[in-house]
Amino acid sequence: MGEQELVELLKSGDEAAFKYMVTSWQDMVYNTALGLVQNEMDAEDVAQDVFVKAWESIEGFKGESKLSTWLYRITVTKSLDFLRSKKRKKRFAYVQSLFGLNDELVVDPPDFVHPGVVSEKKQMSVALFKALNTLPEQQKAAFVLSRIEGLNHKEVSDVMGTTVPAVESLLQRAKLNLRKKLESSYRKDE
Amino acid sequence: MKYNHKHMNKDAERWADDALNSLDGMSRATANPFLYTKIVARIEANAGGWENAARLISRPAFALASLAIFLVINIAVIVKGQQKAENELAQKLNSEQMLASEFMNTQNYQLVEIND
Repeated sequence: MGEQELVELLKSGDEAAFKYMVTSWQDMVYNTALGLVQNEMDAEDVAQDVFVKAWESIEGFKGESKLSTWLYRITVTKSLDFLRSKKRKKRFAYVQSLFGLNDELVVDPPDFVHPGVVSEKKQMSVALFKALNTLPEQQKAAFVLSRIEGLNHKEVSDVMGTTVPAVESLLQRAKLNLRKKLESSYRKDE
Repeated sequence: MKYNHKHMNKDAERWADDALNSLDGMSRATANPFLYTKIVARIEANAGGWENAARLISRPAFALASLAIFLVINIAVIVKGQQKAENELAQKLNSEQMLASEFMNTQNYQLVEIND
C-alpha cells in the first residue's frame, strides 16, 4: 500500500488502514518514547496517546512530510509533555510533603535498562541514560532520535522542524554535556 | 599525587567514552503485541463524554463561533439601547409639548375671566 493511499484511507476513517499504520510503526513509536521517558509502562502509555492523536488529527496531515516523520514528531511532543507533567506532579508532591499534606515518600525511579542494549554494555548504558535525563529537552530529543532510533541528521531535522546545522550543534552540545556528567559521576563514585 | 589525579582523569575519560559507546549495536525495543487493541479501546472510550466536549471547546471554530455570538449580542444591546434612548427623548419632548400647550390653555382661560 502506498503512503498516499494509506493517508486517504485513514482520512476516510478506514479501520483496517489504521491497524496497518499501528502495526507498521508501533515499534518505532514505542522505542522513541522509551528512550525519552525511560520507563516501559510510561512508554506504552505515550505510544497509545500518539496513535490516538494520529487517528484524531489525520485530517490535518497535509502530506508535506512522510507519515513516519509526522508520527515521530507526535511521539517527541507527547513524550516531552509526559515528562513535564511528571516533573510537575513530583514537585507538587514534594511541596505537599513539606506541609505534611502528603505522607507518601517521593521515591526515585529504579535505574533504567533499555531492553535493546547488548548485554555486556547494559551496565554502562545505565549511567548514560541517567546522564541523558539531565539534558535540556531539545538536546535529549536529538540524541534519542539520532543514537537510539538511528536517524541521520536530515531526518532528525525534519522531525524537530529545524535545520541540519542546528541538529549538529544540538548533538555536539548533548555529547559534551553527557561527557561532563559521566566524568563527574565517575569521580564521585571513585 | 599529581600522577594519581592525572590517572583518574584518564580513567574518567575512558569510562565516559565506554558509556557513550554503550548504545552501539543496540536493537529496537518492541511494543506490546496488544497495543492496537488497547488503542482501539482508548479511542472508543474517548468517543463520548467530557473528552468530546473538551475537544469541541478547544477547536478554533468553536472559539470563532463564540466570538461571533458575543459580538452579535453586544451589537444588539447597543442598537436596542439607542432605540430606547430615542424613544425616551421623543416621549420627553412630547410631554414637554403637552405641558406647554396646557399652560397656554390656562393663560387663555385666565384672560377670559378678566374680560368678564
